[in-house]
Amino acid sequence: MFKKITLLLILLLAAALLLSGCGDTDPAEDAAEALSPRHGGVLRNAYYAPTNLDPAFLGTIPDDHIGRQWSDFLVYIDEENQPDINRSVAEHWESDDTAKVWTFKLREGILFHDGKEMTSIDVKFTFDRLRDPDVGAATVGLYENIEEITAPDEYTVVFRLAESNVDFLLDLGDYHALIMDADNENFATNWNGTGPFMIERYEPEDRIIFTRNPNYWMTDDDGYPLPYLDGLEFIFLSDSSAQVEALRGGQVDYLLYLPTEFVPLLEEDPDFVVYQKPSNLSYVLRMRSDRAPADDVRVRQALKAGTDRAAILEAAVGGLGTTGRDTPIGPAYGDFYLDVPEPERDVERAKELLAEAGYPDGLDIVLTTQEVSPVPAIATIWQEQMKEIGVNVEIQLVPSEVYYGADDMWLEADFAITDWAPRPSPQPYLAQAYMCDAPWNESHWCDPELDELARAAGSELDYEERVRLYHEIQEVFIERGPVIIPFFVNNLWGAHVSLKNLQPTSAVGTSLDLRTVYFEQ
Amino acid sequence: MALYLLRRLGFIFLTLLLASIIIFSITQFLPGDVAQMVLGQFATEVAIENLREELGLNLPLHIQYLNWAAGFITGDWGDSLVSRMPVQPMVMQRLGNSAMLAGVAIMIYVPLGIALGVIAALKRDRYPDQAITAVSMAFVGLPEFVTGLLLIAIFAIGLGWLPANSSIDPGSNFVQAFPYLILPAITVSLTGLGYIARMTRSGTIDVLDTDYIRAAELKGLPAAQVLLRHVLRNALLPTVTVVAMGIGWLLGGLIVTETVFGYPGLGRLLVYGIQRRDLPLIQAGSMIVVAVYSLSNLAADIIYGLLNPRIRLGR
Repeated sequence: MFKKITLLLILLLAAALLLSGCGDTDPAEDAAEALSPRHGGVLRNAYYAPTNLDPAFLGTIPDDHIGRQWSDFLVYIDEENQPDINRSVAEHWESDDTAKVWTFKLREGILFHDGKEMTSIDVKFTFDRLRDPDVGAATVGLYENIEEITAPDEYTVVFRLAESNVDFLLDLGDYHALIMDADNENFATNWNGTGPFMIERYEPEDRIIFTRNPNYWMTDDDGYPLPYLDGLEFIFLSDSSAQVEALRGGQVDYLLYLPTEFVPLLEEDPDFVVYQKPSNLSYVLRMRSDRAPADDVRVRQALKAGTDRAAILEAAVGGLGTTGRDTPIGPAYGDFYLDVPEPERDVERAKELLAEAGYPDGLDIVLTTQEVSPVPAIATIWQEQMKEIGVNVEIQLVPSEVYYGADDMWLEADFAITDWAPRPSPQPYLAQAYMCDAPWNESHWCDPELDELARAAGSELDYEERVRLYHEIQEVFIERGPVIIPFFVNNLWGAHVSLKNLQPTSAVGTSLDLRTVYFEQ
Repeated sequence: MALYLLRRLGFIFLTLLLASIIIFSITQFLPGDVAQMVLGQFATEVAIENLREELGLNLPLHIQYLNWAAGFITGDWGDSLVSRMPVQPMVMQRLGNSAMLAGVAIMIYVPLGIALGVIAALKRDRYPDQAITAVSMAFVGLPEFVTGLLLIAIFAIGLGWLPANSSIDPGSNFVQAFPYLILPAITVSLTGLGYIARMTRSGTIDVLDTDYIRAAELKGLPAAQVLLRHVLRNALLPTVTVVAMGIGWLLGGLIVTETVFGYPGLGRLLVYGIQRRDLPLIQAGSMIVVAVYSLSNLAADIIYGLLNPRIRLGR
């Protein structure tokens, strides 16, 4: 409480200072160079090294974190997973009644870092490249539904889809979809984007240094140019304790994807603030439903009934999240989320179900577990819980590279825990992992009713009706679905107190918007 | 002597050649390939095939190796397969950083280790000897991430005297880098100290037991003179070898320390290269480490000869 009051006071004071500071001069009258007291400072961050900086092949968290600093999105997805036109390079968008033809009007005068103006040619080029099977980006599947992209004039782009897609704006906000310069000939080493920061120097496995883009198109509410920061410096540290020590030692100003075990340490230190926001990042314990034993719905129900979700949440990530309901649609999706009470653990019921399924003496299973925090912790606690219902869980620990490696262990194993990153809407989870012919249907579950509901939800234009469909989908999952989702973990950031205006997001943790972040003088 | 040197340098060249072939072969057996690593788990087959073609990974293995070797000898070390940037400046900059750290560490642990070893030998089997042995061995046994994090907790976070993180700016010179080098250098020194102290102790004890030392003492030379002129000169021979071996370790093997402190040294770069199957980077980095090992061994042999004329080489 005290903290909140102090924060409020600081904010009021800052506001008062700002108001008194710019009361007598109108910033709009000043030249473009006029900067506010918020301007200045270099933001430093420590995280793992990136793998690829070519937007079409971004794959890791650091890849994404770097990408969104030096270019922009046609459609920017905000902190609540909604399209935000004010932060998009499109200034207007509309679709026809069938959600098949989408027309975008671009802002005029947006410049690439090399001074060239961004036009519809570049936008068309960007998405053509991302859907080109010969380029082979990870987005080819996502944009398969695009039939044709046209650029009728310099500032208009039209997307024609084969089938209706009400979530098309969200698809366009995919993290690979950074606006590219159509004249660029080498995407691996030429980072000519339109973004708020320009890459000044990239030292592989050491750091990447950005400077402020003085021609950036966005302004703040007072008309001052964004971004506020003079530059960014991302230092690559391959050890999470080293990252945290760098923050505590003052060598960096903020950390993203702060590991949960460091949260208490930073929270008790008055120099730092831990920001958190519920996300849909989850560790999905999926049960292979096309062969014994989990092909029997009673086995799946028994394992669910024997699981104590709150205990797993507490022990695995220190309670920094919300318990799941065994459906991939979490509370981060607002209305779409079906808010039912957390299922009570019922050991007797679980035993009964197992007996009915033909396992009165219990069951031996192997749980394939990635060696990446907090998956082994989840597996160990669940193993204990299962013991009480007579299920003997053998934990098979494998490195992540092997789990997702050439043999596709994650798609093959009978029982396994897969980490699923946040998506801007529930639909990608259904299309990618749960519909019968989903490419990553890791649980090999095929439920005609779910397929029908999911298809309907994906093309339903009426919001209320979509909400109803998603709720019904969650009921199916709760009743007979192939997954146990113990919890959704919060996105976590650690930052120095002098860093202001951080807006925690429930999308991927990298999408924290650095354009409006500033240091308190 | 010149002939001897020439022969030794020839052997070093052969060592490098052999090492490059071995490293190249090993990387072929690593699971996964660089195209998959660079494009990520979800890239399509087409994209991976395109990249393999572009990077020349579809050529026969011996052609790939010869291409690399021809380039390396003529000074073109190739581009990193991951970042597509030239490997040479990357490796050389890291070598410079590693050399700075190695220099500071050697300045700390070699004199200290020798001093402790001599004291232990002089007070053999008495309290100071036992204390020195126990403490230095304990530090040898402690992993660097433990000593490193302890030092950070005490001197950086607790007392605030030194930076907690040593990710120095690229191109920093020694003066700029110095404050960032102290904690990692101490961490490394605590590991290296024990070896030097042990070697010096046993070398000194051996020499102290010889007749010529007894003779020197009996003819009435001051104890300090006996120690410095007669004991150390002979006792330090094995220590020289340990120091020389240590240089190779300091330049390419400090992966844990570099990771804990975020110090951009050569060891970390090599691990990064290996994780991503970045062949030109792995090759160039390991060639440098092998060369440093070989050259410091050569230097050790030469110093050996200077200290001990009986085994002076080349005759």
